[in-house]
Amino acid sequence: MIDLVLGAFAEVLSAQTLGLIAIGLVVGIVIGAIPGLNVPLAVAIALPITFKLSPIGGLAMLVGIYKGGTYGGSISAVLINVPGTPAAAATALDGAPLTRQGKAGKALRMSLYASIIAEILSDIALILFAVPIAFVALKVGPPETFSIGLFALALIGVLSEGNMLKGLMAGVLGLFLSTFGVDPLTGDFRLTFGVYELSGGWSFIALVIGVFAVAEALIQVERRGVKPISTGKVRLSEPQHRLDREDWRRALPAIARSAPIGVLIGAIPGLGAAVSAYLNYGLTRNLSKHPERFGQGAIEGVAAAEAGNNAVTASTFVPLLTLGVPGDVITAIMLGAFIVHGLVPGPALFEKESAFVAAFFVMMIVTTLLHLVIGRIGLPLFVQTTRVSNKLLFPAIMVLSVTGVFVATNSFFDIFAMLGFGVLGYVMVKSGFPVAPLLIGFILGPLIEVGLRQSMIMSRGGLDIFFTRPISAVFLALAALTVLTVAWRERRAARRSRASDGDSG
Amino acid sequence: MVRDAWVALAVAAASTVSLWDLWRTPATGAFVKTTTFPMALAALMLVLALVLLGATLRDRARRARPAPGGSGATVRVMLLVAFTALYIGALPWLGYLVSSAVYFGAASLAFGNRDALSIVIAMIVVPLALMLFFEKYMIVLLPSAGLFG
Repeated sequence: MIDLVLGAFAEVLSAQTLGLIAIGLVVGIVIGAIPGLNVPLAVAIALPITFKLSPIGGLAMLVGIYKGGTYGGSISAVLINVPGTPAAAATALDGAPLTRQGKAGKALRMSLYASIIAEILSDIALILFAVPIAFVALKVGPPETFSIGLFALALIGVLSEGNMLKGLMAGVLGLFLSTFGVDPLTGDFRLTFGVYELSGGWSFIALVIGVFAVAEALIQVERRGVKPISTGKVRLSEPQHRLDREDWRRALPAIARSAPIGVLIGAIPGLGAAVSAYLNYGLTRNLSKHPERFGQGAIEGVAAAEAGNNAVTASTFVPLLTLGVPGDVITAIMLGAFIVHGLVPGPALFEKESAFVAAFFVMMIVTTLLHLVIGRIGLPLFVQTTRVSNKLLFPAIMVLSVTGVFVATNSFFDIFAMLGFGVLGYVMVKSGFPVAPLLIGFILGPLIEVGLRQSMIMSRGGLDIFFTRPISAVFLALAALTVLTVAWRERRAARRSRASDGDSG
Repeated sequence: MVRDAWVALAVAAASTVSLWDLWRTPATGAFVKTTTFPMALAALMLVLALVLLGATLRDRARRARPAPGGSGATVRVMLLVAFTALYIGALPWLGYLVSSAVYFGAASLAFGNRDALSIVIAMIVVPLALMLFFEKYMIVLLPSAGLFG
């Protein structure tokens, strides 16, 4: 056993493997930060390169891209309110306001540290609890997926507190937009209005970039003449860019809660980083004593979203390593790297290739530690973006947004859709509609619809299937509890408002 | 107040059109049909839009607030949207480099940049850097100029 671990460390700590991890991390962070370029694309491009490398060396580079890319999306989300990845959209909700307050360094630091803490926990969970986690993940079928989706949807209410009607409208609109195109179960077309390009539905990347980047540019062009956030060189040592004890006091409980939830979500095939980020963000706001701070630059909002986002990075390997089943697109691509090197994931891998499995586990932890080092080195560079004048920054963001959507979809229709979603986002912001429920609805729509319809087929039309299966019942109860909590808070806020109106009158 | 009423009317109209389209779509599938879920959502949107419209019309105490920057700001927003639409439309004809450079210049002016030198430099550097990055390093082809063959 000790020989196995020592051998694993020797292989992973070689100059070649460390170099490959570092290259993967840098490439991943850059790719993740650019809207439109996504982690699966980068992993797919790098896959052929890994065929000529050792199994651990090749996988180390791919894991580096994966972890770096998952974190990288938050950099542009925090600095310019343009999420590099869909999952980073939750980070933008509080990260971008912190940047506008001149606290970009604080948000970037928290984003990095929350990501690293969650990644380490995810790595440890993969190493110690891969088999039990896989057992739980296997219990999640369509009824559970539906209930988890419904619970996450209930959190829309949390994100809409103070303006429930508009929040609900935004959430339902997001759900509705996700139903356009081919029916995922029957293959029939619906809501295409005779437009061929709509047969695949609305592009999620066009929606995210539209409601964040384009809408932000439209808001900024209104306020022409707004000066850059920083005029001189930005130093991370300045007090407003540092994390103080109060920040950690707020953020640590959020990270401690979000990381294990993210680990479980990552292990369940089909859910992914975006669901984890939003679910944890909503949950943290729901449990907060000051939910009104969220969306205004709450550091725990950044921590929850980033911890939830990055906690999935190791646990997505649980179904792949233990059962040979890839849980998402990235692990499906990585399965190719395993097979090319003659490694067949599944229970036999642990028996026949124990040296490889040990090296893989060590590599995951070393990648996380190197991620911390490279991310920390990059922070002083990233934060200089706040010095760029809006007059140059936003035209560049618009060109980058158009380019990003074209690269991601190769469709001019989707770029026009991005512009349409930008106008929609602008109107929503100007009219006081929250944007987050729209995105959550869009992410959860397919999960809820497919979960509901498959469950109904399983139960031959009976609704009891949702209440008789324990995991499903628990999440339905949590959804009901969330709705009740929000309703109680709304009622209390309305009473206070009436009372204060009475006093002033 | 006025803006909320317009938004509610727009959402109600979109929901009605969608409901009409779904009504005419053949419903297939077992137990929960192809159109059941989107129809339920469209109907819910219609109800919520009508509630918002009702609440807005009832609440006459609230008055519309002028947008910051006045009508000039609205013109700039509309200009930027028009520039962007023209840019997207021009991409397959003028190609990535030319259309991005022209758009960058126009958008910079809309954002109030009057420094000709910085605009010209950025018009060249930004599209060129993006094109080199995507085409040379990411091996992703960007739109070529159909007009010039």
